[in-house]
Amino acid sequence: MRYMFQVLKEQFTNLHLIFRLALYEVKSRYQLHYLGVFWQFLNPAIQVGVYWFVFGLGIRGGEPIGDVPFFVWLVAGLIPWLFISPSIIQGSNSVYTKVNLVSKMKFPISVLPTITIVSNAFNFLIMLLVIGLILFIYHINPGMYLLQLPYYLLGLFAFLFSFTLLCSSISTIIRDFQMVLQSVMRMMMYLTPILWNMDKLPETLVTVLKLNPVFYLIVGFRSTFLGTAWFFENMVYTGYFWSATLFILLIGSVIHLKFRDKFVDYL
Amino acid sequence: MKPKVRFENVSKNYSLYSKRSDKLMEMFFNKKRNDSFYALTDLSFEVYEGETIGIVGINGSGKSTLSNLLAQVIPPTSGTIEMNGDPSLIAISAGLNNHLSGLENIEMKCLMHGLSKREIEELTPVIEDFADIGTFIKQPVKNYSSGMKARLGFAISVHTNPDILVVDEALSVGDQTFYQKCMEKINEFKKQGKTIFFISHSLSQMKSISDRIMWIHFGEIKDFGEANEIIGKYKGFIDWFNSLSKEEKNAYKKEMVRGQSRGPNRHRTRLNKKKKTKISLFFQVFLLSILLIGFGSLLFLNTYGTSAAELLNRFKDEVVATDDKDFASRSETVNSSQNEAVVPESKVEHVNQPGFVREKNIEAFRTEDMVEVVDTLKFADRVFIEERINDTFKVRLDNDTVYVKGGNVKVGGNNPSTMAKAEDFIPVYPKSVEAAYQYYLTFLNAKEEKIKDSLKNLTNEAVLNNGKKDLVYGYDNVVYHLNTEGTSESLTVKNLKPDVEKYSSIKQLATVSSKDQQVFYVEGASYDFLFDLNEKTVKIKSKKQNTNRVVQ
Repeated sequence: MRYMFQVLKEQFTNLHLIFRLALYEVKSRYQLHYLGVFWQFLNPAIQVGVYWFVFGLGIRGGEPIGDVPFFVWLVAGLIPWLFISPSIIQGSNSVYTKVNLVSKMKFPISVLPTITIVSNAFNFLIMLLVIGLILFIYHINPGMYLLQLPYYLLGLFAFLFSFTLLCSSISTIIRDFQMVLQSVMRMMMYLTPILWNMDKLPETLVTVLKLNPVFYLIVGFRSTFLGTAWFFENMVYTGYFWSATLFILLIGSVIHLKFRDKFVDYL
Repeated sequence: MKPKVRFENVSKNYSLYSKRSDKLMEMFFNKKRNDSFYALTDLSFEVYEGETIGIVGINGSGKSTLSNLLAQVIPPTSGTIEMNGDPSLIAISAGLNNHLSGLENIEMKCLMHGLSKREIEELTPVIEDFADIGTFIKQPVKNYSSGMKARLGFAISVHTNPDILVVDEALSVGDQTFYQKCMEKINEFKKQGKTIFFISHSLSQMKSISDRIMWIHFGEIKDFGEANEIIGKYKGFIDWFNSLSKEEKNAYKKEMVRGQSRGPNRHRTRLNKKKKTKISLFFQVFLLSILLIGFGSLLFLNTYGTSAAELLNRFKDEVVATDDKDFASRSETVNSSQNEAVVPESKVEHVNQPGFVREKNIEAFRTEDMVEVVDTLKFADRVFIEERINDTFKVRLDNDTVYVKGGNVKVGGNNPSTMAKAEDFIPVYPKSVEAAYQYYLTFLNAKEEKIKDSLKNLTNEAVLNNGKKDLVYGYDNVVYHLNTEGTSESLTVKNLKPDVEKYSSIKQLATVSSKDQQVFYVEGASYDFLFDLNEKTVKIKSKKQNTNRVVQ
């Protein structure tokens, strides 16, 4: 617990620093591009468009899922994923790419993954508003279910922080890990119900896939936007998600604190 | 004066790996099976406030390793380093981002040092002026010359208010004017009581800046003392070394490096202290993994979990029931109050319209609280809906009143103008039926013998449990369903065409369709059609024969 609290404390005492650097990163990321920050929306829009064309029109033949049009169903799951995936990949690489820069000054290395997450989160929060607009256009009213959005956001950030903290340490020490992670993330996109409905799979197989915490988040966000379920309706799964997150956080903070003085040696 | 920096028996060794995997092995098993190189051995010294220390030594003597240790960039292998203050390292292009412009680098470095926005705004022109880069300040750092980089790095580091400044060869690239500026800044620092470490090969620079000089020689402090004295000794060594022949020089260097490679073999003795935290850590990991595995396996048992919840509900119902018995006298009031509790505002809405069942098999209940099942309704069964009570429909069925769940029933009948005919479905009939569908329809409501006489190729004849019979014409994709009197009641066309897009127009004719759109019912002018897209069949019934469950 001591390790976890130490890492968490570093986040909260440096909250200001994290936000400033994250904003700075967003600004500088698209600085060399003519379209600038506009890419932040163009990128997800292109991806949503392509997946909707292939999976919605192509494979499903434009059929809705239940009462919900496929487009809305897709967007409700894909938008969180478009935040999760780059956050994990960039967050895991963040220590490796920046440790050179920050090791020459007194700087808490544990905030590096957080900065990446937060810089991606600006875009995500605006995309949430876009989802709201889409729901409005399609006359879908999630009603009271929207109240659980803060809960899922908390879960999302807790999971992303824990996971990137762990991965950033490992991938700094073992560079191969970053490659593994990239392939796994590419796989994960198809092994979570982002692009396709898993209703036709056997129950046991779905349960195996459910062991992935990202599954919980995607389904959770979708049920929030479409107003289908509360998070406390499936307490077992909620309990599983949080214990998995805590477990990752514990291992991640132990490894991080153990190796962070030596990161430079492993470059 | 209190010491600002204190080194005590500090050593730094680098493991030399022949393979990359050896590095991993050492990390996990903590075994030293590789050769190690002692860059610094057993360094002990103290430095006080306001001192400027020069560090000299020939190439490969460990100066840069020492500067990295001083700046706390790398941790020592053994020994302790005490520092009172934040160190800042200035090396050529240290910590500059090549893709960002000079201005952005200033902003970012200042941000990382935790300066506020206002402070940065104040500092930026000062740094710009000090670095003296001119219009290049807006260009990416990758386009800078090495002098520009060094000047910018020095300017930023100096202005972020460090306590201990470590200057590693950074001044050697600047010209005389810049050097002069740096000297002023360094002297200013000295007055403020800051400590400066200065690494350079230029002995004249060294002489003018340093108070004391440390001579590092192959990982060890050869001498540490007053500036002029050490410089004299060092010069003497250089002259002696230069006078050696090439072979002698190499032999000397080899000898020295061999000494570093052997090095003292110190083992850290911190194991005991760590044991306690290790046990508690192990316990935490163990606890959390138990929790994780517990929830994980519960997930797999979730199907049983829901049935357990149902069991619990049933148990609750039973308790309520026994309660009712026990308090028979009060049962009515209890019931009514319970109903109010469960359904806060029960809205009753009069519908009085025909409707259709839109699920495969739904249960019809005797009472509103949905406990006793009286009947099972099939897909597309017609019902007459009397009232809607929240999510429950009160439905008339064969002079009987039952209750069904709202989602299972669709209110409203079909629109007579769109009444479908059998030819509307020609596009989806299989080849065998396509041309002759009217011929097959004439055998609806016909006797068994007549069908058998007229149609050949009977492939199967199945007698069902309830005395009904199926005549299967496998080659024609047609099945006739006979009732107990031997009259054909309906016919099923099998193997409908699989093309999905053809069904979209048919679906628009549907009187009622299931939630997944795979089963739908079309009420036609003279026939009724029940499509099942999962099975790719359509069941056609003559209107006259329709066993209408509606009593109106």
